[in-house]
Amino acid sequence: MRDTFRVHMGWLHSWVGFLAGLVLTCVFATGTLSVFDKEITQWMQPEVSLDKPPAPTAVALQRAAETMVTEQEKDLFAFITLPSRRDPVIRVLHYDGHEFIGPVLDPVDGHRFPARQTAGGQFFFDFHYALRNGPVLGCTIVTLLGVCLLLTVGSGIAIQIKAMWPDLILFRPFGARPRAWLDAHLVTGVLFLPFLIMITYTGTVIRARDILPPHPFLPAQQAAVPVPAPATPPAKGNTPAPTSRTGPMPPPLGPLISRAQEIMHAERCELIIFSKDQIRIFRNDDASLFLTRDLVTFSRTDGHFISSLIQKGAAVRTVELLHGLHYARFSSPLLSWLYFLSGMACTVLMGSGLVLFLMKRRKTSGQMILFQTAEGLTIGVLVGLPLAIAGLLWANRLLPAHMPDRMHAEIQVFFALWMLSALHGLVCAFKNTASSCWRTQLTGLAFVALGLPVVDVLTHSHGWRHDATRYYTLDALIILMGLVALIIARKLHRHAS
Amino acid sequence: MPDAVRKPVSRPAAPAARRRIEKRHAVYKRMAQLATAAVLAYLSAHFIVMHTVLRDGVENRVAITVAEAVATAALPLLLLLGYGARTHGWGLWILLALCGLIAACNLIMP
Repeated sequence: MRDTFRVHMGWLHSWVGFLAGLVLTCVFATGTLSVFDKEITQWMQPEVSLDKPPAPTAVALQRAAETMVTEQEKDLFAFITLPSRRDPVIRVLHYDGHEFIGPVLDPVDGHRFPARQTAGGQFFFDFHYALRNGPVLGCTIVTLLGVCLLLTVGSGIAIQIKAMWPDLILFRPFGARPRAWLDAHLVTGVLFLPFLIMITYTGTVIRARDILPPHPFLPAQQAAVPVPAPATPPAKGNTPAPTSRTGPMPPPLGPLISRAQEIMHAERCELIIFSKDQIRIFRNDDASLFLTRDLVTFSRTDGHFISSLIQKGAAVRTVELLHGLHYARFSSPLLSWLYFLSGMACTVLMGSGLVLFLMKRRKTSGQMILFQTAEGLTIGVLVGLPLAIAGLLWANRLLPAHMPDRMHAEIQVFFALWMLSALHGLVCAFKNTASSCWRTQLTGLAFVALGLPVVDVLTHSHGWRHDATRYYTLDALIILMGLVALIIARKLHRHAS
Repeated sequence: MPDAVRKPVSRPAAPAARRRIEKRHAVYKRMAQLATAAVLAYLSAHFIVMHTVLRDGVENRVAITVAEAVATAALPLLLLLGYGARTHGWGLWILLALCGLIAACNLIMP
């Protein structure tokens, strides 16, 4: 066997890239959707009207405080998010172990919108950063995969750098099949390399502590940070008294928010967290590239100022910059779209890498069980995931708006569709009919995606004149996805016949 | 250049079974080398964080977070160095020396 530097790096790139890529493609796809998580939540809650001014009134804040107290009486760790440019409503949220969910209030009169229960864009965010496995196991896996991706990118650069210079962005979509896939892989890899490295590195850094060995700092930190209340409701018969976690009704929030803005020299505040005897008001984190967590603390009893935490210094700014670059909360709509497109391109990069891996080995290992498993799983990732996402959106429109436990029903539809797709892919791969499986599933994806706008129209869940941008944009993106699936399916069909 | 230094050796006479075994052994060797590089890179990253903990104290949360960011960036680079430079036979030695150097620094730090 040849024993050269490029062979070593090629082996590392292929195997680490494929094994990690199966999950990383899903992580990148859901992360890309998370760029517009608030907008997706709004699409999934058409009952919420968004044509309100973003400044909350005193009445609305009072209602929000009352709702928060009611939620805390249910033993939920509820907090308030104030209206913002992207989400001009008041939300009283709590963490349910996966998503931040809760009632939505009008920022003018404080009435509660009869919004349907849904995980919304938060579902994709949770999948992106924890694979729905919680902040310990899930985050650790994703962070380790982030390191694997950095390794794959490094080895990819090492093997391609010599060949890339003459044909830096050469793309031959109508060339021979492996050539076209390799071009797609290289073009997206070259053009979006800075973004790929930046987003992977910053994402890995956010939870770096999960993968590094524990050190003496951890106990010190754990002692300093109070443990939040459990998100799950207590068991029956063991319910604590309602007042055990609930403090007194907070004082009017309007003056406290103004005071906090004044102290932090902030244009807006975004988040209000309530403990039993304190109110913490956080600065908005979308004002600059640096994602800050500056806050002002007031007494919950009478609203007097207790303390403020405004972090400064080069080290703090570095950490804030790394977080800010990844979360992209600072971005204008144009920059958000750039993040979205770059994320899409990186997903295509990984998807084409998975296909290339299979194409290169089909001749020599096509009959091996491991290869067939790999192909089945690849079908599940590349077609099954978009199918499941479109299915989730179908479920959002078709399930009754006030169905009990509606949110979990939506999520079950997502995972059931994904599982069916992966199972179908595996069965077909084992029966050596993988190519027909690709065509069938892509046609199914095209049908589901192109049908979604029709379902959206037929269910009459919202008007098409007010707040129409959110509906048109998501529907247009889904149509685009359906058309791409249809074109690929037709091309595969032509190739087979 | 590594490609030029080690020319591939063609062995048409070697029986297919023997070549398969050789190939499998080469893959095992690569995996072992990758695992060793991973352990050494991981240890180095840990020692980088510990260096900051020892220097700045456990209460300096921000400095340690920055050290973790540096360690995270170093981890894949060190892994690539340890595994990739094996063509020249010195990748793991460099990594071992680097790891030992940071560990020694941490040991002699007052």
